[in-house]
Amino acid sequence: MRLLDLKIGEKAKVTAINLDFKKKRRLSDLGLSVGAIVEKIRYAPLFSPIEIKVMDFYLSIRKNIAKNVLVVKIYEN
Amino acid sequence: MKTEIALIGNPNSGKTTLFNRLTGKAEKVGNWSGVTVSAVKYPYKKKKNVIICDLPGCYSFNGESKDEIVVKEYFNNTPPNVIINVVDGLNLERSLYLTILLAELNIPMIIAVNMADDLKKSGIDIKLENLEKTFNSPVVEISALKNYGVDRLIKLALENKKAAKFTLPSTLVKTEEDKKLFLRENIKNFINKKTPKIEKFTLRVDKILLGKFTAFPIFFLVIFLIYFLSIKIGGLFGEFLANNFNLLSLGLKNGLLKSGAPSFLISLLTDGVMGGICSVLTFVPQIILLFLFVGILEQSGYMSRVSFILDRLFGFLNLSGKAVVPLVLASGCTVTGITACRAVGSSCERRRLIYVSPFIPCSAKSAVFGWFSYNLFNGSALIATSLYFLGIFSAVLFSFFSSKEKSENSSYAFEIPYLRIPSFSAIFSVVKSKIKDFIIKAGTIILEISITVWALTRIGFSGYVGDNIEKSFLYNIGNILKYLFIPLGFGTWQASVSLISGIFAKEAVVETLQIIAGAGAFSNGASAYSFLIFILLSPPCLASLVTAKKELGDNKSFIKLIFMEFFFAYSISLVFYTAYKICLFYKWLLFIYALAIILIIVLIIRLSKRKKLCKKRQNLN
Repeated sequence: MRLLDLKIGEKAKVTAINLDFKKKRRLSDLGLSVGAIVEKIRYAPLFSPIEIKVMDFYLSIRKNIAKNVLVVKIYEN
Repeated sequence: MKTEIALIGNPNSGKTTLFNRLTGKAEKVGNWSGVTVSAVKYPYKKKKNVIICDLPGCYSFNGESKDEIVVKEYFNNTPPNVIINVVDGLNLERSLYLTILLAELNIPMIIAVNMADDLKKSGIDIKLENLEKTFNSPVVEISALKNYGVDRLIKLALENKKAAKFTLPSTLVKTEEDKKLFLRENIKNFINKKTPKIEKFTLRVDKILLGKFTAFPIFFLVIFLIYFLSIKIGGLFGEFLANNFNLLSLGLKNGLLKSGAPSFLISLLTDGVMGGICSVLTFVPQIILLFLFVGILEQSGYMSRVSFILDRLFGFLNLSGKAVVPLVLASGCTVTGITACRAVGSSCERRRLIYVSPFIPCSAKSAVFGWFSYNLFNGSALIATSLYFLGIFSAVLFSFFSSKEKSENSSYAFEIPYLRIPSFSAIFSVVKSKIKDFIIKAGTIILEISITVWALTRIGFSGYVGDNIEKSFLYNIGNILKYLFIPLGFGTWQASVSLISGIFAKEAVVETLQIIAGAGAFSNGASAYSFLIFILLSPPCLASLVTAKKELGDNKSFIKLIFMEFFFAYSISLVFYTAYKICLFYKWLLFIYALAIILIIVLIIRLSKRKKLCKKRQNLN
């Protein structure tokens, strides 16, 4: 599923990032790379961008980027 | 024997705060990346033969961003003797990726874990020995903000002779992904994870700051407060200063008269010099307050939240939400607005913002509007308000049209930092240096202009010196220029001459008008309003132009700026005054006029699209 489709409060693991190299690198710098665990925190008041938590910090990600990040939901024990 | 120590770490890890502590300087600290844009070197304040080098924040040095290129070149060309890797204790996993890359350089390194105070408060423990073993480098906990551990850090840096290395077999950890996986799996060996108090606090407060229904009201409140406090209250202080200064200058005048000094000299000192100083003084309180508030916003982390909230609006202009910062600052002083553009992401975006910042009425321009409103329009608030909207609308229009060029914008993903209590000492030092800058730069220029205008009004051809304005140089210049402005409705020598003085500082327009003949320069309200439109949209004061040239970097963009804004100002004033004349003549014609304007605009858009298509075809061939 896409990062965009994750619901608020849900956690997931990144499986693929379908973007150009420059964007992938920047996201990776910020912590969003394949294998990272993300949690969806909220939507902006105008519904874009979205706020997610990666590693130990919070990122603002535009919707059209979130569309291209594929994740797999994780269920907490 | 000089020893060079390089400070390197992620953006916002506190490198520059550490640098300021070590050198005693006050480099600008900001809560967004890109504030340190090049390597800054300065001697350590306790030992002059030790040079500290502050590098821009980066996450790695294999990328193509400007920061990373600067860092890569630094290590290739002028590597330091020792590296201090400033690591944010609250973001350890991410920070350590850069540490791995640095360790692979095999230069002696000290790892400085910053924010030690926040860590202690949150009960988080960093396992220093494990870090030391993994990277073969000493690790020190510091707090650059609270000046804790800093001396010990430098002592270790100067003593350490061990070359750093990443002590894991290189067959296991070769690629970037391997390194990141290593960090993810072993981070528990370096830090015991507990949610820091600061994170809990941030999460709670963010529910209000970023909540669906509360985010915008709070934002408007914050902007309104900044505006009200810095412009209204600052304005009052400015007036207070100006009034007292005027009394002083009057006293001086009387004293000089009594002592029998020549009237030429008296006038030069009181009208020219003191008048000039006065106009700078009225400004200063507003600017101090504006910088103070924006500093608080930046340091606390609210600015990034503003980007988050506004990204959707600015995104369609191909600007990041951070663009709101320069635009808000530009309403205080265009010089600050233009300087703040530095912090916005890509150079394309920066350039477009610099072009657009002058359209936002700065406090000087609004002072001009205020004077006109008071003296010519019975204090009507409609004048200033409508001009503000026109300015903002022009800014939006300009950015929209220039956004058609494909530019790189990195605001699609950025970090929202934890909320922090701003460090007032850091803010004060920045405000101090900015004010000094302003007073010296803008102050001297305005002073020079006041004296020049004063001189031009009193000196004329064939050595005439006296008080009859109509015999001065200024009058002659104005008489020639006025023809240019006849279609705009203010083709009088007084108006043209005030505009010239406005090149140097917009408030000078008012000063010149007062010296020359007050409001008699305009035949009617529309003529005056057209003049105000021209002032709003034409190239900004000399101080801003000088700053813009510095920030833009090349002459071509700078000249483009001047021409574009001049033509834009001329066109809009022309459109306005012509509409007025048509309205006087026959109201019906206004509709046809409006249609004609729309047609022209559509034509221009079509033409520019065709030009771009031609360019694209050329590029493909």
